[in-house]
Amino acid sequence: MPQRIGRADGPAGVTVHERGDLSLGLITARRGMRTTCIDSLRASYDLDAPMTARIVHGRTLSLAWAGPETWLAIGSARPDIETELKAVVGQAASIVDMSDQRVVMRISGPMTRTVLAKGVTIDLHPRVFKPGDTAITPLAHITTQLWQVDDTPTFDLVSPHATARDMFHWLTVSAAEFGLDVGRTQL
Amino acid sequence: MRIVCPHCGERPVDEFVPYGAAGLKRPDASASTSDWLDYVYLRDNKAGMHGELFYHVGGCRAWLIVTRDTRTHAIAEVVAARDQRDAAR
Ligand SMILES: [Zn+2]
Repeated sequence: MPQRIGRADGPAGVTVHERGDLSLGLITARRGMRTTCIDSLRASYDLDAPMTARIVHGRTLSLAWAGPETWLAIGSARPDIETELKAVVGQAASIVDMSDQRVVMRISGPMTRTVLAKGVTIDLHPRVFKPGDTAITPLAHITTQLWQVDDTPTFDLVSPHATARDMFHWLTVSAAEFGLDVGRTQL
Repeated sequence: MRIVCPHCGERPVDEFVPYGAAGLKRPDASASTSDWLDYVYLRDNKAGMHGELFYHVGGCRAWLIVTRDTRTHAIAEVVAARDQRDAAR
């Protein structure tokens, strides 16, 4: 049973759970080797690393744009994503295992955009921000990467581990008026 | 004030850290004291178009060159510093 925070009656306006089973790797193409890097990622994962602020999903890996010539690779738990990605890109990029450095929270429900609007300055209106779009921007003054998962709407929020508890606290306060269901992994 | 980052789009200025004049040429280590004084301390303080470095710390973490009119703060151009350097090579 999820734990309800804030408004107790009716369905939750927002739900949240931690996606705790992920492996995360940061891929930064070396100077002049962007094309080689993108080609090797395509050959291994059948994914085109996005050149704009988008996230793409393959069978075993997702690639989120994370700055110019930089991508965050997201996979379900695997033994060693750093070694895996290094084997794929070789000398074309530097790889850092971010699995223990970032926390990914998935928030969903009808009031999700209203709650996010309390913390970000960018426009998340469905007219301009769509599933597959990603942004790096402060959420409640914490630098965050977020992307839209679906039209529910559902978003993933990626926070540095050190500030994840602060972000979660911000969420409990900001979503309380709509009812927040906290599922599975508690922070 | 809002800056249109070439990577991230329009963002509030508090996502950025200003660093000062863009395009300064670091003197050779053997350069004269006056050349170093000029490089480290002396700025043109011009009234008009002025290029400045901004770091997009709250976003893509890229260095940008923002060209604005110091009399109106109207921004004329924002480019990635790396692109401008690569174009100059
Ligand atoms: Zn940016």
